[in-house]
Amino acid sequence: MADLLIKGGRVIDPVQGLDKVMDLRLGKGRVVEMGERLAAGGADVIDAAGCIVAPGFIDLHAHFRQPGHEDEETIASGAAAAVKGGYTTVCVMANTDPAIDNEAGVEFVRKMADAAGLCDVLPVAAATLGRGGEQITEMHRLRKHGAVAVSDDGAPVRNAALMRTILSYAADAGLPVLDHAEDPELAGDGIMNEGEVSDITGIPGVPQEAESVMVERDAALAGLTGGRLHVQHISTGASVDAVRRARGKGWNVTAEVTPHHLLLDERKLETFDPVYKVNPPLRPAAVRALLLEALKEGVISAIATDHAPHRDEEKELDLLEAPNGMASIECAFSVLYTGLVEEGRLGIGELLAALTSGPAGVLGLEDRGSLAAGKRGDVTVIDPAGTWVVGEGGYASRSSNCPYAGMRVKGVVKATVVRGRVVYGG
Amino acid sequence: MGKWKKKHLIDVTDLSEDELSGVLDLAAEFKEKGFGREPLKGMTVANMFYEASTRTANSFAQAARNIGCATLNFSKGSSSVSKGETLGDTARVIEAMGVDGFVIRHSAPGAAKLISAIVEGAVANGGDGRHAHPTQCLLDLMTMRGNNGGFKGLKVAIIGDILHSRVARSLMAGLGKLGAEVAVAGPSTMMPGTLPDGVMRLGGIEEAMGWAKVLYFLRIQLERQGRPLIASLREYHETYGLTAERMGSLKREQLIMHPGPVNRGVELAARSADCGAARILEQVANGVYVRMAVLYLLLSAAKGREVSIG
Repeated sequence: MADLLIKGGRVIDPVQGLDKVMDLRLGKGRVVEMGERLAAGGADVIDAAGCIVAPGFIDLHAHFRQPGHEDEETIASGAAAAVKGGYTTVCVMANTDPAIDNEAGVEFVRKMADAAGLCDVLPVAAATLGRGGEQITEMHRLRKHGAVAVSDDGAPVRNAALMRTILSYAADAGLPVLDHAEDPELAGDGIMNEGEVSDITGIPGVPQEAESVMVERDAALAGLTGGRLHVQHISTGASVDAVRRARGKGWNVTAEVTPHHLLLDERKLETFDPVYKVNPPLRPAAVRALLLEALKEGVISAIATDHAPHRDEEKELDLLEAPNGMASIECAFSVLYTGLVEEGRLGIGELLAALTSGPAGVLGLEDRGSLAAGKRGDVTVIDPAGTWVVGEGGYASRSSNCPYAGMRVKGVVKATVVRGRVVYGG
Repeated sequence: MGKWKKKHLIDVTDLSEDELSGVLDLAAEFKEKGFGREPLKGMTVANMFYEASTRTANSFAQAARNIGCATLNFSKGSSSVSKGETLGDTARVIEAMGVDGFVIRHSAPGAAKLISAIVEGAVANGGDGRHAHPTQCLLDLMTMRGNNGGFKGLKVAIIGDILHSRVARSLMAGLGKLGAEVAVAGPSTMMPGTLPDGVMRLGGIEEAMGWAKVLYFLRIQLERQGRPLIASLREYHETYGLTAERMGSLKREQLIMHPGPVNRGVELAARSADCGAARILEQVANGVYVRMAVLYLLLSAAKGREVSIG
């Protein structure tokens, strides 16, 4: 394979503190060098003039639905949506049917990802068999076969003693525990944030404490066990406080936030449109601002999409029966760029860090998340001035339950490069 | 004088003050002058009741017949409605049978709105989850107006489970719109964190009885989704019910209302539902007139017929 020369772009690499117009050369699947006016010398060339050249985006949290719900997404369609969104690495959750809870499942995910040949798809295995919250999985075997973390995402671990065991055992196996923190009894039958809007609409509410009491519990258990805890889709101020305190004590605790918890708020539910039904629910605008502050502060180290595709007809289910989740991986960068960077609320470097080095750090992926020489040749090229309308011309995903549909956004992914090979655009 | 243009009634919040009065006026006209002409002869109204309901379903059916409409009745138990078919699909299927209007009762908030976005015909919300119950609100307003004359300065206390009640939500909105003073009382486990602007929370039943002209009692359930919200019905009666003792201290002008069905001995002492202050049967009777007015206005608008209101 010929080398790839990405010419004349604004190279931003948060890890190296770099933001400069330069050329970037990839070869043998890795970053070779960067500098001014590098000679092409037989390399394929991408003209990146006017574009941002960043490390490939890493998504810690997506649902590609395969095996079991191929009508909603497959690993191939999910990967196609991911590279369209500039992602070069995606971690997929284990809430498939069957759940990914043994080495065969992990191998299956990797095999389907290889066959798709687009981005790197890293399996997150279940923490308990069948995500049933009873018997822990064989985490050493899972890791050996390619799992990068364990999580029962979607199903909170109710039992504190079991969570202690999971954190302790996963630490031995060298795997982080990705935590869907929710007290199911406190959440009850709620489907939106409990507050002013739920009071007015009568839509059953979930108090923010249904999340934060579990984050408090699990942070304490991370302290007890020395385990590696990562809080998924964090969505409340009290949860952020708990993570900050745990980190202050030197405990191994990190957190991610979704684009929708940064960009949308609970007032969307006034429409009763199930496209806004998500767990954890959209919060008040004030909480949204607080989550952004926590991201800037570093208490939250990654933005993860929680891309959750659902069949179109599910939009016509009533609000109680409609499933939770939003499909957003192909527009995540653009909506974040438009809603946060263009609005002056977040620096481009901060946004890129939350999409690259931040998530790489959460999983300890040392080979990516930066453009330093020798790192994987995973690169995303973005035209920051380009605009497009979300959903216009269809989705690469098999599903279209996207809350940003119809929005005109800024920031077009011009090329996605995985291991030195252009897998999208160019 | 205005023209009625809406073909859906999802909540009273969608109605202007004039439209609210227009519905009440038409209902009162039906009540006083009768309705012999069967104005909508030949039309069909589908009653889609996904939640058990005797009085609302029958009240709508009676109202539809009174204005000349045939009715189709779908209830969750008797139809093939099941998981797999979406609410939208079911509405399309029923509409294809030649239906002009829909009344929907459903446990999901937003269900009537969802159907209104799909069908061509008129849609009346017969209660959607905890969200809204506009025709209940209208019949309550009609009853209050009939007994009080108007709403300015009228004090209404709603007592019971405000948090889980679509009746309370719609009534607070409707009364607020018409200028009445509204307050609520009930256990804290049954109170929303935020009340609509202008609605006060009273300390208890005694305060409500000292303050309000209309005492509106909500039906109580011991638990919701397996979560107990009160310790016992006995204790609820003692703390928030109209006990026999409290009945003795009712003032002459005070009214008792209840959306039904009454749990005798819980919200109201066994005999108080039948006392002179109670307007509960009047509410039921007005329910038919209000639903006639609503169906008449919505169906006329759906067919492009002009009706003057106000």
